[in-house]
Parts: sequence; C-alpha cells; structure tokens
Amino acid sequence: METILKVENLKKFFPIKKGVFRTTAGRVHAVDDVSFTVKKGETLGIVGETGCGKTTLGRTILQLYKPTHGTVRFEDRIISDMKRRELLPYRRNFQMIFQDPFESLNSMHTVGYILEEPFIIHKIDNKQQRIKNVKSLLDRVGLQKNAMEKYPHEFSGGQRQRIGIARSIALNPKMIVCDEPVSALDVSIQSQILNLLMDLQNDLDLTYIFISHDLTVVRHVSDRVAVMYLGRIVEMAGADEIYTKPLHPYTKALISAIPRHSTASNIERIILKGNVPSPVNPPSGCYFHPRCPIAQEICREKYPEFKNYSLNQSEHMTSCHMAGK
Amino acid sequence: MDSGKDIILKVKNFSAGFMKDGEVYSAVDRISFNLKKGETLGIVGESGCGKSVTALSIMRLLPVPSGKYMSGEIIYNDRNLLDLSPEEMRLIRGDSIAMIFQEPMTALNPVKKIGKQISEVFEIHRSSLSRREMERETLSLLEKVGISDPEQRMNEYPHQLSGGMRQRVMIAIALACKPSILIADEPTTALDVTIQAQILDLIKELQRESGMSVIFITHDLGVISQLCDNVIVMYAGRMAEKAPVDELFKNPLHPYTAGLLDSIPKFEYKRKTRLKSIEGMVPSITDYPEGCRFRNRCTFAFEPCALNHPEETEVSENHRVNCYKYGG
Repeated sequence: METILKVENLKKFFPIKKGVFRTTAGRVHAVDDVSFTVKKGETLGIVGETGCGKTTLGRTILQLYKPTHGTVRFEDRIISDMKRRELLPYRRNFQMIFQDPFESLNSMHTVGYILEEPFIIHKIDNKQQRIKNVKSLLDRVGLQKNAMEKYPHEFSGGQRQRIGIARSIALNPKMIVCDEPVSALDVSIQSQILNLLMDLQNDLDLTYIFISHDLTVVRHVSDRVAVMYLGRIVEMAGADEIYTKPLHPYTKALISAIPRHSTASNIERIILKGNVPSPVNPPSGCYFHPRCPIAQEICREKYPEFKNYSLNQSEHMTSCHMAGK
Repeated sequence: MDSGKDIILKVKNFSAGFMKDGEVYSAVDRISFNLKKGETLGIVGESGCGKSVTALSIMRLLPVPSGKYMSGEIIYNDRNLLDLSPEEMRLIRGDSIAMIFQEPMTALNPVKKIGKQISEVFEIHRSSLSRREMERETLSLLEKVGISDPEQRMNEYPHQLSGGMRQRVMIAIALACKPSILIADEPTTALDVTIQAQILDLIKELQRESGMSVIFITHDLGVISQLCDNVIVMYAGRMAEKAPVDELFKNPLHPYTAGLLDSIPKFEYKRKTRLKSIEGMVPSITDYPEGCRFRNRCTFAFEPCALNHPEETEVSENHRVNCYKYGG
C-alpha cells in the first residue's frame, strides 16, 4: 500500500509567557519528536491520557498549528512548508472531526448552511448543485432531509456528531483526523457513530487517524495503534499485536487498567503510582521512569531509542531500555 | 437479597421529578431497591436515565425549587428521609450518609485550603473535638486516601492538585465521619484510566476496612463489573433490570441491557467489524412514550408494551426485570 502521510521528527512546543515583558519562561513540550507513516486506507489509532499531546499531534499534522520542528508530508507534498495561500486549496484533502459536537458547530447557522459552507469556501458548484450535495451528505450520514432548515441545538449529541461527520466528508477528503469522536456520546450511541465511521471508510476509501483515550474503542477501529506519553510515541504496532503482546511498561499498565468484565479474571492489574509529570519539565532520561515499575539506572540517564522489536515481518516499535530483555 | 435486618437503606416506590413551566416532569419513576450492609450497589444507565437524581434524592439534594420528591419512601434507620426536617437531614448528610461527585474541581471550594475543607466536616458533625484533634484527624485522613506530604497538602488550594488528587480529597471529606453509606456519583468519569484504577482501588480498600455500603453510579459497565456486587440498570427514569453483577453480564434479560452490553467494543471481537447497536436515541424527559419507555427502540416490543409500564418480575433468584417478555 502506498504511503499517504509521513511525519518526521515533528515537534510542537508552546511558549509560556510570564511577566510584564511577556518573556518566555518555559515551553510546554506538547509533541516531542514524533515520526511515523500512515498508509492509504488504513486507520492509525493514537491513544494516551490527558495531556499526552495526542490532540496537539492531530492538529499539528493538519497544520492547524505550525510545527516548531520537523516535517509533515501528505502524498508527495510537504504541507508543513506551505504558505497559507498555497495550503488553503489543498486542505480539502485532509479534514477533522472534533470531540465536542456541541461546540464544533456554529449555533447561528442552519445545518444546511454548515454543510454548504465547505463548497462555498472552495468555490465548488452552483447553488442548486450545492443544495443537492448537502441533501446527499445528510442521507449519507443517516439524517433526514428536513435537517437542513434546523439549527444545531435542535439535535441530540449523536445527531450533531453525524452533522460534524457530514461536514468533514463534504469535499471528498482522502484523510480525516478523528479527535475523540465518540467520547462525549452515550454508550448506546457510540456504536452507531463507530459503525458510520467504519462504513464511510469502506465506501469512500478514507484514511483515518483516530485519536482517543478509550483503548477498547481504538482497538476496534484501528489497523495500527500508537501509544503516546508526555508528547512522545512510546510504542507502535499492529492493533492485535499491541494489545496482546505490549512491550512498553506504560502500554502494559494502560491495558491492564481498562475496567472490563472478564470471565477469566486472571489479568494482573498494574496500578501505576503517581501522576503524569508536567510536560514543561519532562523527567531526565526516559520520560516514564519515575512511574515505571521496572526502571533501572540507565532509564534515569538516557532516553531509549525508538526501535523495532518485531519477531516477524510486521513492525513493533517501542522505546524502552528493558524491551526484549 | 431482600431479607434479614442487615438492610441499611430501603427505597420504596420512589418517584421524583422537575418543575418546568408549571408542569412536573418525572425524572425517576417508582423505583425500589434495598441496600445491604457492606454491599456495593451499582446503578448504571445513560445520561438522563435518572441515576444521579436517585443519588441526590437519597441525600435530599435535589435543586430547589424545581426538584420535587413526588412519592414513595427512602427508609434509613427506620426513618423516612423524605419526612425529615432540613435540620434533621443536615445531621445525617455528611455524617452517616456521604457523597462524592463527578467533578472534583467544581465540588471543592476553590478559595479554601484543603485542610480547612476537611476539618469543616468535623466542625459540623464532631464539634466536641478540639482544634488539635481535628487537625490530627484531617492529617490521618489525607494519609489514608494516599496523599503524599499531607502536612504540606493541607495548606494548599484545590487548583494546586491534580484531578486524581482532588478526587482523593473529596473521598477524604466524605469519609471523615465514617459514614455507613457512601454514594459515589461518577467519581472516576473525569479521570484518566490509570488514575481511575488508583481511585477504584482506594474505594475498594476503604470499604473493606470500614464495612460501609457503597452506591456507585456510573455509565461505565466496565467499572461496574470491577467494583459492584449487585447492579441496577436504569432507562429513562425507570428500573430495567436488577441482578448480581456476574449474573447480569452472563445473562442479561432486559433487551436494553443486552443491547447495551452488545454495543460496547470488546477485545474478543474481530476488529473493524460492525458493532451491534441500539437504534434511535434516549427519549427526552418531556416526551417519554406511553407504556414501556424503551419500546420504540426495542426489537421485542409487542402490544402490551404500549399500554403499561411492565412490573418487576423475579425471573430467577435475585434477578429481577421490568419487561413484558418475562411476564411483567
């Protein structure tokens, strides 16, 4: 399969301004040296806890934030180097679905206008054709045509997320970054939206980057999964592989902490001590070492290299000094 | 599970609702359950199912003036909590029945030091203690809930603590007077999985030590399965099913429970396959359908469902369901 997205050494730091002269007092290392590729038609899941940088990563890939360092290549173009005016027409190729369907839709506009807007911005089709497009979009995501005249507040959370999805697929994008698309929804609605996303992927040959803190949801929709901790990817492998044979102690703890009903209650729960350290001053050496149950001397000194530990042809990358030992 | 005198709390045919534009909308409709000493009872359901209203009603904390206690009884220590005067209720609240809330940032007072917020409980319920004793108790509570450097933390404000730490402080406040019932309303929903695991562990351990009963309210069936002895499934303000936790997961009877369990992605499922789902959405409180409130989304619905709300049927020992499929 061909590569659609290549991210190399991507960094995004946010300055912390202090004092009267707004001098930079420090920097939040939100995304800290991340590299990976995404193949056409696959879903890459990104999991991690609050503040691990998964949302910033998604937004930096889409150039909603200018990266501090590194490159983002989409198909054969380096989009991180593009000027704003150059980027704008290109944006139709990569879209985003947001977490909060209550905040990501403009409450002053009708759903019809919200869905027509992408066509207006990109100067596509005439009014009549645009209305036709909107109708077919609504149909595509399972909403009635009369939704056009209504406003976002007239819909439930699940329906609003359908509107957000319709907007994101309006211009036939090739890739969509889904940022916690079902986290704000009720359990019985979540599976409806996940099914819709999977159907659309099949029908429209979409590539997804699926960001979530919910490990079970990510496993279900992803081909490969990357685990983030304090701005870095600590492990990345095929979805089945990473859940059955995790290598990094953080991944192991994360998977064991998922509350679930299991008839075989033999899963050993690893309960991590303490909290995630601040991304302003990440710990020395391996960022995970202060909470790691198997940390050694070397973990305090040196950040482990991100290497392939796979025993077969597939890739199983992790950065841990103790991996494979 | 309903016999014997080890029942500590009895909710009988209880209904509550909210006033809006001169009309009362029922949020909780004729629910009944018993809580035993030392039991952990889970109440699970989606937003708007009435699980939080149930919890708040036991504490008599429904918003004033819109909240209405409509009928039924909540019996604690042979007294109906709904009949108590506000003063009498205040003596119970925080002392023998305590509650922790979902969002520890909004539940804690942002301008009061942590230590002060804990000792406040002693000032109200244990006023015979001296200032020194209160401080000592506060310190030992903070230690008990796993907060490091309690002496220093006592003098900090909520914003200086992380989400997990704040929830630990909330738990410390709730446990200050060694309550016999702890009501936990989505206490880990705002927390990350690894922190959630810490807090669930803490609640379990504290319960083992003190033998208190816990009512645990959540939308997360995984959390329920890990923590609870018995579960009540609620839908649109009514009870759908009530069973011991393993029984509920192995043998869900109500079509809603079964649908809910099926719709959650599981590790055993093949990846990227369509998930089962419950069609439609939860009806809003202002337009509940007549009869069974789940019938519009139910694949088993037949004529009787439209007429009346199904009564509770005991299908097997301790396993009760409100559904015409099983008699009703």
